[in-house]
Amino acid sequence: MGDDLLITCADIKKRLKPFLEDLLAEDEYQVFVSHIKDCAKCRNYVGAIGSVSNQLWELGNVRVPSDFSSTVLFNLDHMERIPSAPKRGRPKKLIVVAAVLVISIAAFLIGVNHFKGRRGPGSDDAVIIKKETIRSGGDSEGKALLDELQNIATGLGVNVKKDTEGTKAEKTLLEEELSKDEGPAPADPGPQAAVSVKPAPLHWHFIVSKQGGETTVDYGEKDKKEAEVRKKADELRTLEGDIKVLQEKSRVELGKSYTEKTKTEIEEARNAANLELQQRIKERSALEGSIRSLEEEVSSIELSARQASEEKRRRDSEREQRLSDALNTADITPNYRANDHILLTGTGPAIETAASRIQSFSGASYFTDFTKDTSIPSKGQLPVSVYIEREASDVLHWHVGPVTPGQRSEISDMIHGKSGSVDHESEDIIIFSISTAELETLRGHITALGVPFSEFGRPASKGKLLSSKPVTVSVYFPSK
Amino acid sequence: MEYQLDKNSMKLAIESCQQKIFALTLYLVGGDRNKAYDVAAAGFAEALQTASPLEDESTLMVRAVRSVIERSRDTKAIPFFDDADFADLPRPKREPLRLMKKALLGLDLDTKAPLLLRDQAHLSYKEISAILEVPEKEARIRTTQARVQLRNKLDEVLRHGG
Repeated sequence: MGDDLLITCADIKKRLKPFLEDLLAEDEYQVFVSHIKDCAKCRNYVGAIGSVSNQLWELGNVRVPSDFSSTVLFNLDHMERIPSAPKRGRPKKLIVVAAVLVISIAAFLIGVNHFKGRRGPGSDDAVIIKKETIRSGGDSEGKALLDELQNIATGLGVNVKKDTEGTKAEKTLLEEELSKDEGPAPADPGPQAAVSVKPAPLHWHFIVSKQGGETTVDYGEKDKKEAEVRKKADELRTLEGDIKVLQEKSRVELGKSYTEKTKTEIEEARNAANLELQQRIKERSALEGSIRSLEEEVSSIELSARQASEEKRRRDSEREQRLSDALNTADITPNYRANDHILLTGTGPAIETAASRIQSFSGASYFTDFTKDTSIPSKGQLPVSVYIEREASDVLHWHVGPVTPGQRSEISDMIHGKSGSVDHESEDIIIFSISTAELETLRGHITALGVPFSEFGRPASKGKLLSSKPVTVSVYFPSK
Repeated sequence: MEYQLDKNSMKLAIESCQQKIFALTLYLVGGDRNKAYDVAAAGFAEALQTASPLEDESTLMVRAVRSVIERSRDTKAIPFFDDADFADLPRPKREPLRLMKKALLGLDLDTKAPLLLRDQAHLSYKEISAILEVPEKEARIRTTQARVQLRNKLDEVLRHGG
């Protein structure tokens, strides 16, 4: 890489132009980069030039979450759960064959059950979807198709069983078939994960971020000043007491007869008392001035707080209006609206229209689905949660799920059994509020069932403990 | 797997290039930090899976970047305009960066990838050509074309009032 090449700060100035235009030889380029990384003076000098490459470099100064390397190592230890990067142009022939196979088996079993008169989810005959047909890391579109088929089969009353019951011969045949198209098969994740069917996107989330530029009020400073006022007021009270004592002393001295003390003694005592009195009176006026000034500062902070609060209200109201306009433009009517959470459904294109409109006024927003499946379906109704962010670093919301149909009643009982209040309940979602202490217990019970329980918010809020205030939780049930 | 890196070496290897890869992924996936975190972590893990102690940092980075590009390709993300990472900068410096970010996020993945690799991560054209699996000359041409496209996009962003 040309480590033998030496470069000085003077050379940086000479080579700046060719560097910015990417005209340096590779060795020189790397030495240049290496120098400015180590030399703050040169870095500032180069950075002051507003070129495209410099700005791109500056944009690269992003904060990497501190737990990133641990997450990578964790992923590495659990590699079988991470599908390898999808390759372009993967053949879909096998997916189609598998889809046809599932439909055929489902149709056949429905027919058999119908004639036997024992159709329904409790049927003993189950469709077995073999894991070999749904390869981990396979084409996401194909997976979504299979998921849909599985849902259809479930909806039709056919029990879609996750199983390893296929014969060895069938398994080998399928493995051979797969290896023809896609290379070596991945390691067997074991009987516990016999079918790695990724759930279809459950729910999409949109965060309407807190806009930047709001006036911040230093309430800490206000509290400090108020404490100072209180302290000075105490001092003033003590001083007032001293002044009274001194005035009394002066009066007493004045009233003493010359028979008790000589005139000079009396006058000296009185002068001393008066002197001390005057000193204290001066101190009192200084203290009063200081208190007045502190009180003015407190009022000024209070005024700023009021103005900031009004400004916040105005911004919130403006944001609400724009949010409402964005939804109206996309012809979306919310299904549920709480303080900071809106539930809505719409088609993929409608949601995208609303999302881009929301982004045009929200400083920072992001749009993601619950299951990390990143494609926005163009057909069908898409459930979306819109969260209105109040504090930039807060956990926005807690998510539970996806809950499998078998676990639904158990989880519902747990939620209703707790004293938390259910705010909204529909076929695919329950939203409830609960105190932190109870949520901790509930979280323990729910995670013990193997149901995911996670927070939703900015990356900065990841891993945050439950806050002390009551929290809102959404529980997701996959739609049939 | 007896030649695989031990945990400490892996951690050091990750930390040595995580900044470049995370930043690259962030802009490839449209600025969504959550998504970038997942994609970059999975890409890194994939690259490390076959890493050996004899492998240099550059080879690991090439593999990790290749993986994150492939993973980002399937990510359909609505651009996420968050200026939190440069919010502390003074306004005169922040505004050009915001506009540049907007322009950058407006480019498609194949255009912006070589540009980010060169101008942001400062990789050599040899490394970029290995990542993109194209000859060095082609990598150079793509980067130059991407710069032109970025300037045009920036003009477009400015015309529309940022």
